[in-house]
Amino acid sequence: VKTVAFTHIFDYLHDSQGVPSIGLTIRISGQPYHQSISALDVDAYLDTLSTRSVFDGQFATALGLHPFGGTISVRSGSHIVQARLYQLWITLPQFGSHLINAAFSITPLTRNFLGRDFLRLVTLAIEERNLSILIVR
Amino acid sequence: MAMTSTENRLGTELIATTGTSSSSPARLRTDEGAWRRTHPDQLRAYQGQWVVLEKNEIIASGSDVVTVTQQARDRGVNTPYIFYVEAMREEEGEISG
Repeated sequence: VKTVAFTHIFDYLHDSQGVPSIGLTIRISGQPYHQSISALDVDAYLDTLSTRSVFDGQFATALGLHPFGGTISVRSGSHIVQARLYQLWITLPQFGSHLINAAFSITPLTRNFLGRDFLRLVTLAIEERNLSILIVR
Repeated sequence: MAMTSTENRLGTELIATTGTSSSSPARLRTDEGAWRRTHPDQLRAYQGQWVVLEKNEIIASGSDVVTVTQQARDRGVNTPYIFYVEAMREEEGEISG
């Protein structure tokens, strides 16, 4: 038996119709977050089938990020989309800032997804009966 | 269900990690999340648009993320909370016949 003591509880995200979904609000930026840099707070849904986190490409432009490498195909929810890779800092206040190679779509997306690259950073559990996500670093 | 992140079979995606910033809020967008849960009717007017919500006020909206983000920053919000208001879905129901 493995016992995990979770230190933080997050409510599910609620979409524009009030429907709860398994996701988190995270802060994204081109540098480790501090108050003077360009950053955005965005919703991102957990996708355990994706190896890589995927964001709408417009966010990369809004943050002034520059891609590296060529175009790749990545899974975004139930779709495969064309994307480019960017170095991106993901911040959850309780867990600090983490640098990942995130995919930003070439075509518009309306949802962002946190893939297994994010799951490598934390241990989490889903508590559906309480609509909450339990996390420990 | 617990999903651990201890196995490293995904290559070298994680490049670096920093400590928690003391200037960060205790939790991101708690007020806005609560507002979204309780005000779906007000968001319906923004279907198909990107919206910036600050506390309980929609301060920018539109179809282009870059423009909407700039509108929010022009209003003094350096780190906007931006999300897409999806179109209304039909209610789930039984298929008769």
